[in-house]
Amino acid sequence: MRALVVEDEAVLREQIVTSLRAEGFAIDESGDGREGLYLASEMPIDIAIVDIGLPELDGLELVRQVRASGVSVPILLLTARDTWQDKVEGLEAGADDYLAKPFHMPELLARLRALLRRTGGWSEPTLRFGRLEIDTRAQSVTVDDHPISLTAYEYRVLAYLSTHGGEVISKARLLDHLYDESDVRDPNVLEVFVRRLRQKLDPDKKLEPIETLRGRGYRLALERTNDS
Amino acid sequence: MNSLSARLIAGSLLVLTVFVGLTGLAVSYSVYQRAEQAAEDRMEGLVFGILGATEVDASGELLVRMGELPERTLALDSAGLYAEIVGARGKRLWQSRSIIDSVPPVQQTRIGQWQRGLVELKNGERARRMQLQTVWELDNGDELPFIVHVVDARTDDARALTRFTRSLWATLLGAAAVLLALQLGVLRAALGPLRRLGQDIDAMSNGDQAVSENDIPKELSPLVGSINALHARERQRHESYRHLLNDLAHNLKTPLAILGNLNDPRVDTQASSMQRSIDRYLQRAATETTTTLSAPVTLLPVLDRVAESMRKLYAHDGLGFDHRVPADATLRVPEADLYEVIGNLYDNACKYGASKIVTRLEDSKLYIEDNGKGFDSAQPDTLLRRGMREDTRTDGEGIGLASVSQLVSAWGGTVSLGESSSGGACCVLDVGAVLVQRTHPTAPR
Repeated sequence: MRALVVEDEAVLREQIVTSLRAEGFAIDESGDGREGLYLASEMPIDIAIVDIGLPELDGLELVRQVRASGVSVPILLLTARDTWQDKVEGLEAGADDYLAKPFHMPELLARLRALLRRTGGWSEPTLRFGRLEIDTRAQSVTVDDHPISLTAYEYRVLAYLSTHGGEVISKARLLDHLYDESDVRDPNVLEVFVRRLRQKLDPDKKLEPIETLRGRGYRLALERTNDS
Repeated sequence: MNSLSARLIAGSLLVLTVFVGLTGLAVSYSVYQRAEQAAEDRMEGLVFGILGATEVDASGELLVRMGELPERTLALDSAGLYAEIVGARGKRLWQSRSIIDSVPPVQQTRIGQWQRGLVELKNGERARRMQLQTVWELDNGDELPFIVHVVDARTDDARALTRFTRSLWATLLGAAAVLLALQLGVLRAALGPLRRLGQDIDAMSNGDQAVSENDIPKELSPLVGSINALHARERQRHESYRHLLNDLAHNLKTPLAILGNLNDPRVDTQASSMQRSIDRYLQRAATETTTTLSAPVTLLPVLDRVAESMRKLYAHDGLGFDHRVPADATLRVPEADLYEVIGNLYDNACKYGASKIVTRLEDSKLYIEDNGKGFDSAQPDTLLRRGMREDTRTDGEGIGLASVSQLVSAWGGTVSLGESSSGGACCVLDVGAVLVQRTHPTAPR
């Protein structure tokens, strides 16, 4: 998943970015509203965390312009002005959720996971595809109730494919959502991750969870068994 | 006496009383003086007339020719006017045929001296008397001294004076009544702008933004301008106060967020304590602001906006809202506070499983009912105390209901919690003190 963090307080932004990276997010970040608007409009982000009080362009206006440009990714507003009037204005501007400052990082992460689930049409934190279960809170994966040990990048690949179940995800898009802008991206590495995932999830080749569509990308081939 | 009208009416009454009284007294006195003078002149004329009809014959006897008397009544058997001529040593030389009950004695004076005055008769009536002592020189050189004495007990003049006096006072009192009525009319017209000003100021306390300057007399224009300017300044100060507090909170909360995420339990504890203090004092500041400076807020749009936000936040629950509130129902409260109250109550309902929320305004009470899990506590009103919370089903500070209670209390109302007909929560807000208008019901939506 690729998240945009727009927060003008550098220390807080760093705390958020660090926590999100630890959760497996690729990050784009900015300290002002105008650059944040550019990143939100141009980068293939999956979610945005936007502070309301920003230099250059305030957070509410940023959200309005992002929505006006047709970007529909979920947006979580960070606000120190936590009155209901402010919250209503923020939500009407196009935000999907808000989090009042000060907050604890686990709460922010829980809100982001909930927003991503909601966007993908999931109401529960556990995504079930028959024998395969993915717990997005614990970032754990089981097949037939047996835990599967995955690396952070392997989990990211699986989580992205599962929250976009049924969609064909190109390698380029998958790389965009796995890596930061500054990271070196190698499609061959992605193929390695997918091969290792298949081996771990389906050692006896009976499940076949990930389908490769030549020249187009990958798709999670399993049917969702719990719904929104 | 705190009423301007009462003061002006009392002043008018005093002025009218003094004016009418002094006028009546002056006119009465003047007429009385003229009547007195006329009576004396008439008496003098009588005395001279009697002298003119008097002569002394050759034997020295005094004769009065009755046919030449100035008043015919003196020669008739009538009453009320009496005349006599008294000689030396009190001997009566002549007397009129008319009589009175009693004749006061003549007084000896110097020759040529007038004696006049009022005397009381035996029957208690008062009579005017006049005498002149004179001397008649006889042909033989002797002198005959005598006194012409006239007593008039007739009451015609007094009755006429009394009638005049009564008529005078009646006329003056009638004029005073007419003047008073006119004065009241003038007062009413003159005080009309002040009454309208008072009504406008009352309306300001009900949320109107300014006193109307239409049809205000020029004498009151500076006052109206000052009142409007003062009101505008107070509103501005009120808004600035809230904004300053919010800015302060904003500037403190970002550092608190940083401190709270340093993963140091000691720092986290202190940061949480600071956060609670900020929330507490912000809440206190909000509830201590007055509602009289607040512009009326239409209730329905606030309910609709908050409901729309809830649908977004709790989209997966398929929330339904039913707002049975008149479209023109307005509350005289700070708009932000109304959002806070409705936001907290709707958020609580959604957090605790409600899928249907019904809000209705009846008898100055706002009922918010849901079909959620309701209150487990046997005494749900205890939840209105700050810091208490129903359970730990969801995260939060547990101060939402307490915040609602404090704000509604600042509006002069109360909050009571109970069970809805569907077994969920029912919050009843008494908003009678701030409800400005509720006339047309609206269909449920």
